[in-house]
Amino acid sequence: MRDLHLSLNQTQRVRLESAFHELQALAPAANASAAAAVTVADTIPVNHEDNILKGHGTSDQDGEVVATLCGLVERVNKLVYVRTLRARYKPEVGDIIVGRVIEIAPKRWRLEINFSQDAVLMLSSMNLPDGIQRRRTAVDELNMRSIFEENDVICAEVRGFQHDGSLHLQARSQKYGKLERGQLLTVPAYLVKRRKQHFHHLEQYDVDLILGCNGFIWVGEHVVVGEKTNTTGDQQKSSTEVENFTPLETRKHICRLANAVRLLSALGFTLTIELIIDTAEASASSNVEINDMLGAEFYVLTAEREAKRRADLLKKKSGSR
Amino acid sequence: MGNTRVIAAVYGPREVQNKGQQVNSSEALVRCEYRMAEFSTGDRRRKPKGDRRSTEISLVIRQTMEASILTNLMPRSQIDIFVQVLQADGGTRSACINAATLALADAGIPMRDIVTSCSAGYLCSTPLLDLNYIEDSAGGADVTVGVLAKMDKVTLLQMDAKLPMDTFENVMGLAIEGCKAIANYIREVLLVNTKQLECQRG
Repeated sequence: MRDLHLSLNQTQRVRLESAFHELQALAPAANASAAAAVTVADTIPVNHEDNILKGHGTSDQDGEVVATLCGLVERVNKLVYVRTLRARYKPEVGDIIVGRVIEIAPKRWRLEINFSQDAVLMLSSMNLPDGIQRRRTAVDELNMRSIFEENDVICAEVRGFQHDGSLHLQARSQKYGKLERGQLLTVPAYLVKRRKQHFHHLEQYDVDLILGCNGFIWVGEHVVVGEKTNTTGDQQKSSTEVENFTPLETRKHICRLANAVRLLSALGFTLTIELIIDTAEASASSNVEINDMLGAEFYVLTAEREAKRRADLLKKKSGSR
Repeated sequence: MGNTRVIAAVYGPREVQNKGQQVNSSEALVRCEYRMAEFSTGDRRRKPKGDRRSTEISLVIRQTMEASILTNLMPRSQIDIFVQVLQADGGTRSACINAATLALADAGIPMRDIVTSCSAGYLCSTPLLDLNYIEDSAGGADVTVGVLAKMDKVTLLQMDAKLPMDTFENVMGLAIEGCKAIANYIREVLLVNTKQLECQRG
């Protein structure tokens, strides 16, 4: 219950407690390999005869493997490491991330992603508006502001790391680039797992949902991929802007999905596209107003539904075995 | 800790805001700020931030936490610790260090060990643990000790007034015991919290 300030009355509190209890009871049964929780300076039980590789979050003190972070111990063959929960985003090459431009520097943009340093998007890693592949000239450098400005939201992919640890991004494909007409949400990075698909187009709502691996989530109006390039000619641009405003229904769907994401992140559940759509549909079908979705009643309802869903999943798994 | 209530917030590791302050680029920069709310003491404070006591305590907390944070794992970044006292009843320095440790552990910043702190004093020929405001203003000695709980190393030692050497050893021993008790409690709380987050995540 981190970001939502809710005032629960007595019955709601009792129901919430029982829902969380159920989730806790289910959890060790769901995890076949029970990962042990560990805090700072706890010794990790290790078989000293094997050559154990000490990974992230561990250190060697007096021949014992000691944790330096609060989290869960994971063991993969000979590697022992500690996986944290609420820490910063840990980038990997090829991750899809969403970031906000903070600064324009010579030949690059600096973006804020949920990482210990700002990420860098080079001008040469970005497609030019006219689509031609050519060398970036000084004129291009002066026109950087026409492509992205400060406080723009951008979707990009991690290209690699620099020697000092900062990230380099690239946005060379049509599906990356500036994101408009929508909402940017910040959730803790550990709630977004790496999957095959991070771009989701929800047809029934006409909404694009991008789950950035760094915990920044974009919910916005659907943009057809080919139309992303800027039209040259100011007259065209101003007239199209006047005509194309997002219809009210789409905006309502965007708000409903955004509130579903906020609610699930406050509850601490892993964000999957099915869960988000499920929550949004449940709120629509039980006629909860969009702003009431972040209220106490729907919060407790969602926790109970999730407990039931996981119990059913577990039963199905054990039933099918 | 009793009637003393503090709130600690940790930001980071994030990009260094002020490049002039970054002395060593292979390590993280740790900044700390200690404030007392105006309503925290009996009489309303007039200058909650800029006065000498606050600056000194900010420096002390920063040095204590820096001894424990593994700064070389996060080069070119900055960690900000903001501590604010909401209710002051003696031992605010210790409460702030304990709160900062909890916040750092929750934020996933790698540390060598849990830093805990406790104060002890000597009044009417008895060593007392964790003095409150009335006991503190009685004029006896006040020893604040900060230790790395498991490694058994002292990172902070401050004392007001004078004490003979053997009494001082008693009082310091008592304070270190208090620190170890707090460290156990902090460890339990962190474990419970981690397990709960993992269960809820599914």
